[in-house]
Amino acid sequence: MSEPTKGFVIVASTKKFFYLSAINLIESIKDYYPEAKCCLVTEEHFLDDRGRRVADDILFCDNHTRAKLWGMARSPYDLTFYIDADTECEHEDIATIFDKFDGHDVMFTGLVDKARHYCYAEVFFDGARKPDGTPGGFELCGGVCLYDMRNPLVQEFMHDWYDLTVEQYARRWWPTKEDGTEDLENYPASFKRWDQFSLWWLTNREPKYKDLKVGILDDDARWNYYSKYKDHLKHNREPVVIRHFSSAGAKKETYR
Amino acid sequence: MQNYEILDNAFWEDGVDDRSVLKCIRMYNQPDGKRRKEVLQFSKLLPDRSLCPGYKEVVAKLGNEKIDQNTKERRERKQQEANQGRIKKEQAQKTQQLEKLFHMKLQALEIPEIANSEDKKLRTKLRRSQNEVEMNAYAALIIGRELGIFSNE
Repeated sequence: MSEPTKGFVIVASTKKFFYLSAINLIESIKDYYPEAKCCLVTEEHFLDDRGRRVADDILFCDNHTRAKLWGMARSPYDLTFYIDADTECEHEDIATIFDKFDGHDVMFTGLVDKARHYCYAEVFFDGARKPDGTPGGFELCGGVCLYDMRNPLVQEFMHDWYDLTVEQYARRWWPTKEDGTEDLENYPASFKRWDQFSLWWLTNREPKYKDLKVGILDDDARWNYYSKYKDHLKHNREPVVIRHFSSAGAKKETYR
Repeated sequence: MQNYEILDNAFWEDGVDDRSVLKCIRMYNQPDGKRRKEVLQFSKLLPDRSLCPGYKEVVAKLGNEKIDQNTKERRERKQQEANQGRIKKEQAQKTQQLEKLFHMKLQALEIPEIANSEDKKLRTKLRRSQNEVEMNAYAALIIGRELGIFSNE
């Protein structure tokens, strides 16, 4: 049996900021892992020589705000590590990421650690309440994602995540009550803006994916370390590998 | 009739360690049923060197040991709050600096000489810069190299 192909998927759509960030990210990955294969998913009008120079594979997407999910579903690599574009790699352990499946099909970083909740906008909602009555909510963060595209269920899952999110963002899908109206008591309207909601729905309510083995990376904070994390709270055990600038004001800047 | 209650969290004033100045809170019961808070500071001696009745009342009610304990706990709490505030401020500054540096790197990537440079070593140095000065220096080096100002040797 041949070795699985391995590579990174980075999606840069809607803003020049993401395109520049993606180039910077790919170069930073290759600084530490020169053999890394990187697929840049971007809108055709953004692509220039810089993108062609750093990317091993290029896919064109449209300008949907969740084009990232479209790109994730179309990874050209068997073992794929998706990384949000507004990040930077800063450690050689990036080369070890494909050894981190730990028996799972899909791996994320987590939102379960309450000590980190100061950094997240919304986590809990009644529809996710646990059987014992304790609060429940988002447990997975989509900033990075390690997945095995050789598994047809994973491929289907990635396509469904994109399709469901498109429906959700277009206000064509939301969980309903028995009378057919939207269940906004259990699933508040404010959660409609999160692709984590469609992710939560598929991993918790969709019978098709009950056998999908979804996990959280060990020492997950180092694989998606938000720039707003408070270092003194020591969310990570080992050095940061991926630093995430998701709240950076730079997103609002205009680039040439 | 006394219509107030002295709360049991009185403490000795900061910077005065001879139990000569204390601070306390009196809660007054008002006719409308509400309570009014009054923060008071008493010096042990009045200008005529007689014992201050307010001071005497608080010490008689709580005792020196309780006020000592309150003072110790309060100072520790204040110190902890100051430390947390400092850490929070430092962290916010660090986050802001990192985000600004990230933005500057993206701006640098827009400069044609840097965008088109194939000098991997210098590009990596630029990307790994830890502050603005370092980043500007590497940006200048790359531009200089691309414009032929600096040679490869």
